[in-house]
Amino acid sequence: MRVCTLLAGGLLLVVSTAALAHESAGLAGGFTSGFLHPILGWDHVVAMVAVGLWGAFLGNPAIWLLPVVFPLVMAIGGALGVAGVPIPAVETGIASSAVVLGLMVALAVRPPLWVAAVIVAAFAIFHGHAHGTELPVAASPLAYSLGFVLATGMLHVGGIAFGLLVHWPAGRWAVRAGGAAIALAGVGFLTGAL
Amino acid sequence: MRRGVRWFAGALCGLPLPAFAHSPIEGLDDFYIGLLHPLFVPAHLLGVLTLGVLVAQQGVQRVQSAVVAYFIMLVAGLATTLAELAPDVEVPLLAATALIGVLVAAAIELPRALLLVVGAVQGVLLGLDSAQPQLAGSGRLAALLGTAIAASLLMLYALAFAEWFSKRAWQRIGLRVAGSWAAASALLVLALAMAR
Repeated sequence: MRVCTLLAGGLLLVVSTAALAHESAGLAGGFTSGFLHPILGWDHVVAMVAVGLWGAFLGNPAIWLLPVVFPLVMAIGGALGVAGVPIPAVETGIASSAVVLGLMVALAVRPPLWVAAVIVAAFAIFHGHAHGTELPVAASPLAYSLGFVLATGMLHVGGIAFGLLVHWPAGRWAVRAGGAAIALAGVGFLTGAL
Repeated sequence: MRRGVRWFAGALCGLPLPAFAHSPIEGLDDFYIGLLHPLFVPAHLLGVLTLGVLVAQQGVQRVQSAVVAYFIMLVAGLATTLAELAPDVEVPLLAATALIGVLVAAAIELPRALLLVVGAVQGVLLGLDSAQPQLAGSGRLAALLGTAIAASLLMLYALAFAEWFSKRAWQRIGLRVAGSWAAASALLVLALAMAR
C-alpha cells in the first residue's frame, strides 16, 4: 500500500504542469486589455461613436478626416499620460466630449472643417491621457496601444455606419436623436448619475 | 520499498521531454525562431507592415528603389549583429514607424529620394534589432536567415495587399486611417520608451 502511495505521489509530481492563474499574459494579454479599455468605459464609447456620427453627418472629407485626426492627437495625450504630465479634470473632459460632440450632432451643427477637427482633437487629448496612464503597466505596451487604438477606430466606424443613415430623411432624425442620447449620457457622466 | 523506488524511476524514464534551451516556442529549430521573430515582436511587425503600405501608396513602380534599399539594409543590419554590434534601436525604430504611419495618413506624393532613405533606415533598424545573442555558429546564421526571409516577405505581402486594396476611394481612405492607427500606437510606445 505504501509503495503504491509513493508511486502514485511521485507520478503526480512528474505530470504536474505550470499553474496559469493569469491567462492571456504577454502579447495577447496586452492587446486584449488595450482593446477592452475603451470598450468597457461607456464615457469612451459614446464619445467615440459621436466622433463617427459627426463625421458622417458632416460628409466628405470630415467622415474620414476626423477619425484620422482623433488617434493621432490621442497619441499626444497618451504620451503626456505616459510621461506623467498631469492634465486637469481628465474625466470631466471625457464626459464633456460626449456632451459637446453629441450636441453637435443633435443640433446639426456644421462648422468649417478645421473647427470640427480642432474640437475633436481637443477632446482626443483627454481620452489619450486616460489610456496613456494605463500603458506603463501593460504586459506589452505596443500590443496594448494597438488594441486600444484599434478599438477606438472600430467605435468610430460604428458611429460612421449609423451616421450614414443621414442620407434618408427619417435616418437624419435618427442620427440626430442618437446625438441627443449621447449628449444626455455625457450629462449623466458629468453629474455622476451614470 | 526498493521495488517502489524502481517503479518510480521507471515511470520517470517513461516521461522524458526534450530540452529547449533557446527556443521561445517548444519544438522550433533556430531557423524557425528567426522566421517567427518579426511576427512575435509587435514593433517589428508594425514597422514592416506600415512600410509596405507606404510603398504601395506611393506606387510600387515609382519607388522600387526603396524596396531594394530596404532588403539590402535589412541584410546589412542583420550581418552587423554577427559582429556583436547590436545597439539598442528601440526608440529609433518606433520613431521611424511613427513617421511612416504619419506619411501613410497624410497620403501625399513624396520624393523618391526620401522614400529610399525611409526604406533603408527601416531595413537597417529592423536588422539591428533582430540580434540572436543566445545562439551561436550555424544556428545563429540560420535564425538570421529566417528573420531576413520573414521580414522581406511580410513587407512584400503588406505591399501587395495595400496595392490590391487601393482601387476604390474608400479603400485608400481605409489605408490612411490604418496609417494613423499605426502612427498613434508607435508614438505612444515611443513616449513610454523615452520616459523610461
